[in-house]
Order: sequence, then C-alpha cells, then structure tokens
Amino acid sequence: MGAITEALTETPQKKRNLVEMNWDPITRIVGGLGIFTKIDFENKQVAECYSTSSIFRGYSIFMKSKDLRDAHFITSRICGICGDNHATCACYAQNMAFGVKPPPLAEWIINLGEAAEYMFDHNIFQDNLVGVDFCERMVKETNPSLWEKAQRKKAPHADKHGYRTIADIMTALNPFTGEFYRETLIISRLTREMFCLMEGRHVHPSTLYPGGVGTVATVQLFTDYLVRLIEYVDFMKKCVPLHDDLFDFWYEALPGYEKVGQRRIQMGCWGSFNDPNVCDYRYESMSNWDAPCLSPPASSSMAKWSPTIWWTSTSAFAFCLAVRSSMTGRTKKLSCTPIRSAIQSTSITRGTRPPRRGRRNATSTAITPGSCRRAGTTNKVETILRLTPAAAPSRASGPPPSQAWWTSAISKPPGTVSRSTCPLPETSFEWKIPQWSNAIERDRARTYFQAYAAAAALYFCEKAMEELMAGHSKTWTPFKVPEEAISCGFHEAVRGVLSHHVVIRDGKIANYHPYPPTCWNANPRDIYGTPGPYEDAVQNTPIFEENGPGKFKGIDIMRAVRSFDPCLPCGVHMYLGDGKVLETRHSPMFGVVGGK
Amino acid sequence: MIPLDEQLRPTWLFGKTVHEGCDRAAYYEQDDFGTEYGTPKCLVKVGCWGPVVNCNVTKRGWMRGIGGCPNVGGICIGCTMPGFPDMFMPFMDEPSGARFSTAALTLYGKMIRTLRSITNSTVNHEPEWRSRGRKLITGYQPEPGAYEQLPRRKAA
Repeated sequence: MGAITEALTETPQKKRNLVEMNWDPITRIVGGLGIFTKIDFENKQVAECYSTSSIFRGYSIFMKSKDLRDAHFITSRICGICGDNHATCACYAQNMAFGVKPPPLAEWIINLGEAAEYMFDHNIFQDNLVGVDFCERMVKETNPSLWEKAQRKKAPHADKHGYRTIADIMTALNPFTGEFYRETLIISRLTREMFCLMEGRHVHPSTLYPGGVGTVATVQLFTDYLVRLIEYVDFMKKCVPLHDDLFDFWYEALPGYEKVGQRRIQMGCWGSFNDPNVCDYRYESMSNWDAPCLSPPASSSMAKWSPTIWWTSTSAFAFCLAVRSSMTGRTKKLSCTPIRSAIQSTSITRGTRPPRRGRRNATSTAITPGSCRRAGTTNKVETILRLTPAAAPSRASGPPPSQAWWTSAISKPPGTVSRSTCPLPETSFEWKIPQWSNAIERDRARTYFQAYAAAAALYFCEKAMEELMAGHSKTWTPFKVPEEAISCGFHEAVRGVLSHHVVIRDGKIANYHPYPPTCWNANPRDIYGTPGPYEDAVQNTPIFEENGPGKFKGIDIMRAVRSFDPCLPCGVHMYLGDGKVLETRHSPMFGVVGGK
Repeated sequence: MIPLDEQLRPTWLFGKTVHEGCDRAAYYEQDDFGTEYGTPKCLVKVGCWGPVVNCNVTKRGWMRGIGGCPNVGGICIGCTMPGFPDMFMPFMDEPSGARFSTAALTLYGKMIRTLRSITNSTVNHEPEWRSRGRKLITGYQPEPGAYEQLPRRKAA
C-alpha cells in the first residue's frame, strides 16, 4: 500500500541501544498512517515516535462549484463507518448557510440516528477490533505469563457477564471463534437497523436533508427503534462490567501499564446531540447551544483533570471564527477574534493542493487545521472528554444531561418488556473520571459511552414521541439557497471532533473543508517540535511485550494508537530499521490467518 | 455464474429499476407528488431519480428489510449507476426528464385517482345485507318459527 518512507535520522545517543521499528501503513483509512518508532529494548521503552499520514482526499477540490445541498450526500462517502457523522455535520453546516431550523421532531430523529451510530461504532470497535488486541490468541503470543495469570484470576463481575475468569473473557474475545466477539457482531447489526429506521441507510443516510429529515414519523417507527434499543441496553449490562474486569486486570497484572499510551491531558470535543429547543443554527447564537446538548462541547488542557472547566462557547466560537476567516482567504475578511491574527489566511487554502509524490509529511501537515499548529498546541479528541461533562460534579443532579439522569435512564427499561427479552436486572453505571489519559482509559471510556448513548437514545425516543403525540409530525422545513453565505457545522464523529466549513459564492460552493478527527489525532509534529497526539501517546510508552526484537509485535504501541481510533486496527506492516522485515496482521482477520 | 447485465452487475440486484420496486410508485401513477420531504408520497418532484435507476433497494430495504431509499423517504441519487454522481447533481432538484413525464401524466393520473377514490370508498363499506339487528334482508326465508329458536345474541 504505502511507500516505505526513508528512515528518520536522529542524533546518536551513546547509552541507548535503539532499534528502529516502523509500522506503515498502520491503517487503510485516509491514505495511510505510518508509525515510525525507535525502541529501546534494554530499557523496555519507546524512545521516539513519529507519525506520518497522507490525509489527502480531495474533497476540498471536487466540492468546489457544486450545489451546497449535495454536500451531505457526497461527504458521507468519506468513510464507510462514520459516513453518517459526516452527512449530519454537513447538514448542520447547510442549515446554518441556508438559515433554516429543522422541526424539533427532525432533530430528535437525527439524534436517534446518531445515537445508534455511536452505539454501533463503539461496539464494533471495542469487541471486534480493540478486543483482538486483548484476546487470548494475542496475549498468548505477546505475553505468555499474563495468560497464566489470567487463568487464575477470577472475574470480579462474573455474575453479571457470565465469564468465570479473565482468561475466559479473553477467549470470548478471540476473533470469529470467541463467543462475545460473535455476540457483538450480531448486536452491531441491530444498531445498524436502528440507524436505518431513522435515516434510511447506514452509513450513507438517504433520508437526511438540510432542513430536517424525510423520514415519515410514526408511532410504529419509534416502537421498532425502542424494541431494538432495549435489547442493546440489556447487552450493555453485560458489556460494561466485562470490560471493567478486563481493563482492571491489565493494571493489576502488569504494574505500570497506565503509562502505555499516556499523554498530557489536552483534548477537545465539539459536542453532539443538538437540542432543538435552543439550537437554531444561527452562528450568532452558537454559544447558547452548548450547555443543553447532551454531549456538550468541552476541552481540557489542564495538568490535572478539571472537567468543570469546559471549552464552552467562547473558545469554540473563536475557533470557528478562525477557521471561517482563514477559509474566506483574501477575498473576504472577517474581523472580531484575537485568534484570527494567529491564523493566516493561507493556512487552509494550502489544503486544497493535491499531495506531491514522495512528500507524505508535507501533505499531512498542509491538511491539518492550521490553528492548532500555529498555536503550538496539539489537540486530541476522544470519548473520555465526551463523557466528562456528563460526569462533572456540577452536573451530578438536575435535568438532563446530568449524571444522575443517565444512570437512572439506563437502569429503567420500560416495563412493557418481558422478562424473557430483558433477563437482566436494573443496572446503573457510574463512569469515574480517570486519573490518566492513557490507552486503557480511552478504551474504557468508549464502553461507558456506549451505555451513555443508549441512555440518551431512550430520552430522544421519549421526546420524539411527545412531539408526535402533540401532533407535530412535520419533519422538514423548506429553505432557499442563498447567493452568498459562510457557515460551519460542528459535530462528533466516533473517533473525535468533526467539523465542516463552507463558503458559498454565487449560489455555489466556493470553498468546502471537512475536518475529520484524524486530522487532529494523527497530526504530526508542528513547527515547534510539539508531538502530535499519536506521537505523544506512543513516545515513552513502556514495553510490556515479552517478545524480543526478533519476534516483536509492538502490541503495546498498537494498543496505544488504536485506543484513539476505531478504524486503525485494520492492517499492520512492520519494518525493522536494519532492512529486516517483520510482517504481522493486527486485523480482525487475526483469527483466520492466525499467527502469521 | 449468476446472471449479469451488460455492465456486469448481478441482474437480481440491478435488473429492475428503483421505481419498479418502489412502494411509492402508485403515488406517481396517480399524479400525487410530495413537494416537501417527510411525506409518504412520491419523491420525484423533490429530486428522486428512482424511475431510471437500476437498483432493488426499494424491494429489499437496506438491511433485513429495514430502511432503503425512496420507500422510506430518501430521494434516489443514483448511487448504483455508472453516471453517479455527476449526472445526478444537484440531487435535490427534480430530474429534468421527470418534468416532462409527470406533465404527460397529469390528466391520466388525476382521473385515475378520482375514479379510484370513488371505488375505494364504495368497497370500504359493508354490503347492506350484512347490517346489524334482527331484521333479515338477505332474502333468505326461514321456516316459520325456526328463526325464533336460534340463541339470541346479546344486545350490542
């Protein structure tokens, strides 16, 4: 797939015996992500990490001079897993450009669709992709002594999920043969059906439009959704304790594992699940949307967790303006934000150039949103932060989206469900804000977000039915395409922040930029040498793998990188610096090609 | 080898048009078009390309019979076609050909709709002889006394 990039040079260090290890491509998404590492096997640590990726997809080029109303149909094709996140985000941007506010019912339907998407994507990521890194076969190959311990270790929540020991859990996660692996596949089909009910097709929605949805809202529609949702809620009652057991075991059995994938706490979240009561898609009122939305925007760049300090309106607003102003380029100037002075108008127009062959680093740098590099910061976005506001002390009680609300929501499946379909008792989960931002906690946060999304969906279902019962069955608001407009849409894809930015001139798209999360997460080093999130997470990661350089699989590094992104566990090639090639598959096919 | 068409597409999937399998096609026939999204009517006027696109999504749904495109309110944008997407953009405008064919249909469609609504209303009524009450109007004449011996129904 990708070309082997030239080995990086570095200043020789005397004490360390560094072995260069490169993984390229690490993924099949967005061109290809490569991880280039130098590993200090004697001290069992990753000494250096560089990431590179060619995130050029050309959307900014071929969206030009198109009708903006086509944007969501086209941009959903960016991804085969989270395409609907792009479509939704594009619709948000269109709503702003057209000055249209969808009927509340449409907003609840979109929220239901997106909740189903989150439930689907996290689900498949956790137990069909990440689970492979924690399964019996993988652990036996990389850490045989850990497998011994796992066989002896009783699972603390065995009564909830039915697996007696941690080893049983690991076996259940084996690709294709594992029981839990297969159950997850079936459940993810269920969530896709839920999505299809709301938006027609998963993952390229057919009934999603600017101004609302084309879905015909009926009681039957929401009932069909709810029936499936309850089954998912039930699955969560097993899934959450199962993952807790598994992840806690890693900390216990491998002391110091919290350092794997650990990086400084610096992250952002654009927020999702708009509340139609406040979200009117006017740029001016954008700062009012945040608080009530069920997964509000937030950011944290504190030395310690400080979830009460969110990146609320002001900075999101400022960022948005910054992107806007830089996109309009020389032809139209916007004034008003101090950040703007830090962003040169050229920083994003550079992104419209196709990549030059053989210059992968140059490409990825050019496409990365300029603001984060110029400011010398690197953002990372993740589920941890998406959950944080919900778990924040100030939100511990009160109306949704408080923590009390969502724990109670998940614990109360409607009484109409019979015992046979819902055999597990009422359950409530509490996600505790972790001490670290590391691989394990990123993974754990996803599991909890699955439960959170399910709880949120119950709420949306109720709200949608309220609208319907009140006789408000319209799901679409008409609009006109203006001659000139600038707009943006902010949303959360499952792997992180997502925003679409548009400039319309003469009724057509003059500039269109989708900023997917990988632009932020796989961001290479900036001009000041600040490592990007992947680099930051992998760098200094201790190595717990028992294999030496000869049979090294890099499992700890893989766990660190994949904790960011569901799409990453696809295929890995591994190169040894001295020209010797190690090949491995860290993909869902692991079980079939086994041990290759 | 499964049967393929000229474009080498499996005919079981792409042999019929979206419109031929669409449960909203009858609205088209009756000149009953949605002018907004979110109605159960035919979507041709708001951008659906279904009548000329090869795909059976409307018959099979998106997965396990659930979801789909025009059948659940999403316009067909021709994504199975070799000409996708350029020939179909802008998606949300009425296809140029549809303007002609729907115009040609107006008279016939309106007439058919009216006639059908009359017949529909007629067949929505039970025949007169199936009325409640003790009076028989079917024409059946029981032997004297036999009818009175039947167990009596409780008054409704």
